[in-house]
Amino acid sequence: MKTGIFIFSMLIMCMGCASIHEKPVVQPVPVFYPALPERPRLQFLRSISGEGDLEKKNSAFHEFIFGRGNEQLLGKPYDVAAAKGKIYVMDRLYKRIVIIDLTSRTMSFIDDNGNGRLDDPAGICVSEEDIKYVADMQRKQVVAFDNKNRFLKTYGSREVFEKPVDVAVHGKRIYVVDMKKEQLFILDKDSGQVLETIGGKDEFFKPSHVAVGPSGNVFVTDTFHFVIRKFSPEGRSLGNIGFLGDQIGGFVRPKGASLDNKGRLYVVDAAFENVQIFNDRGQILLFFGGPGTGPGNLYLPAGIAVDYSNTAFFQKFADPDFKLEYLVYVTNMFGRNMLNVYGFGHWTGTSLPAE
Amino acid sequence: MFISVNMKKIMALAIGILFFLFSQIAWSWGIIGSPHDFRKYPLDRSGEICLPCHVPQKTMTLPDPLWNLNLATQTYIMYGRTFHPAEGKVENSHPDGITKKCLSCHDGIIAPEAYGSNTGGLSFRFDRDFTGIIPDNNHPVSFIYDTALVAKYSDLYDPSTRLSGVAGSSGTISADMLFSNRVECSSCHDVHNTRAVPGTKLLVKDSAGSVLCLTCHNK
Repeated sequence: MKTGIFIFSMLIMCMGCASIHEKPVVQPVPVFYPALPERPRLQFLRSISGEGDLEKKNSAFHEFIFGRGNEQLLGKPYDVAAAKGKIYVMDRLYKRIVIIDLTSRTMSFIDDNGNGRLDDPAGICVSEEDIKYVADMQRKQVVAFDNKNRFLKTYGSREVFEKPVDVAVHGKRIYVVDMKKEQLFILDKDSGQVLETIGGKDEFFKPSHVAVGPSGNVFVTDTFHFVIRKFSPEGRSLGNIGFLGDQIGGFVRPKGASLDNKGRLYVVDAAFENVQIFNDRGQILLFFGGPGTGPGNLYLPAGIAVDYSNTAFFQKFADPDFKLEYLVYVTNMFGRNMLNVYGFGHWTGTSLPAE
Repeated sequence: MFISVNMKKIMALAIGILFFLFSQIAWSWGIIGSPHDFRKYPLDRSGEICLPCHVPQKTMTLPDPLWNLNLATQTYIMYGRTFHPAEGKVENSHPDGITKKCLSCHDGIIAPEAYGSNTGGLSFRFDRDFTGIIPDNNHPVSFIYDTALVAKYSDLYDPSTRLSGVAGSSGTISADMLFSNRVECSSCHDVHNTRAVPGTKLLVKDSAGSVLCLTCHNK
């Protein structure tokens, strides 16, 4: 009898839990940048903070037994990259790579306690072949994983790097920024040999991120110089983007950078808690995000990635009059929303008065 | 003759001691030479020590972004306070303005993200649901510490009456260590190093003997 009462009360409690953890309704008003009636270029689509945000359809029985409480959550995402069907998040709380599988709608880790063990990972990038490259500050190496997430190889050593913090890959070259040596390294992807070393103490001031554009130009976040440094694929300086200041087009705490196929540069700023977009001549096009916890807002953001391969998964979250061309992921190190997903797209609705 | 030689020795020793003391004090007296001295290199570019944290106001007239021509502002908000849209108040349990400024560099990559001893250490958390003192090595930040909290937890001193004991001050905890009644990074860390205890992680009071902890905790 007592057992019966216990089970009954547990049932009641579970039902109570289920109603508390019901998912919030998707925002009814689309968040566009810029807002209508100007021509929208980006739309905030949704935030992913845990498996529950991937809308995996668990059976009613599964939800009844486990509720939503056992889902894998993101902890403190720092950097992000993507391949077809997958988003990879470098999470500083777990110090591991979280794989967000958009097809199975699950989250898991790259688990390797052997040669691919990560000690203090920072930046991540993914090649078109779904090879992951991770800069590890403690190993003082870049660690590569294949498309099955198995350890592939390492680049560099303690003799080469002091504090490798970010990595970018383009064609046969790997670009690595070392925050302590304050240098940009160019490595051969096949041999791992250092081809070129750029900069040094008089050139950079705590460089933190690196990105490569469609034509192979390299962009380094020179954090305490408050600019993005642009280089040719071989490492020849091509000038700076931005300036120190809280004005539009300026930087105070520039972090992650990423480029789209047209050479537009996206730069995260952790002080403004926004992302600024520049064209290939360095002119500012737009900014989005902003501080707060509302839809589309950013909270101490760090990493960013442009992704052309997964728009199909997110088109359903876009306005019916907005056709997505590519996605933009931005990580928040704090706040309620861990990974923000935005869509760059084209307005297909009625003509807009502002034009 | 004998006396004067001794005097010289004593003088030399005294000067030595003074120099030693002065060098110790000088280290803790100001930002120059402290971990937040950003003129890291002799040939530092700007030479402006305050720059990374304090951004000068610029009054350039800049063009609007090409994709957004109807802007009401030319400047961005920095380290914006985070208001909960539904409740219209500052988000509790998330890092707030002044702490966000610290965390914009102290992200674990650009600068260390959590300090502490090597034996377990003390780390900091920003709970999604701050419900009080948790028996582990975590200390919350960006939460309100007022008489209401003291009423809830009897082992806390009232910050409005308890003296902070911070060097050179006779003020209360509220006056010396709280920011809009909130415990932030700067409650315990003197980032400008004007009063920090030498040899500590810029702590406003020595952590030896838990002096710092016992400022607020009545244990």
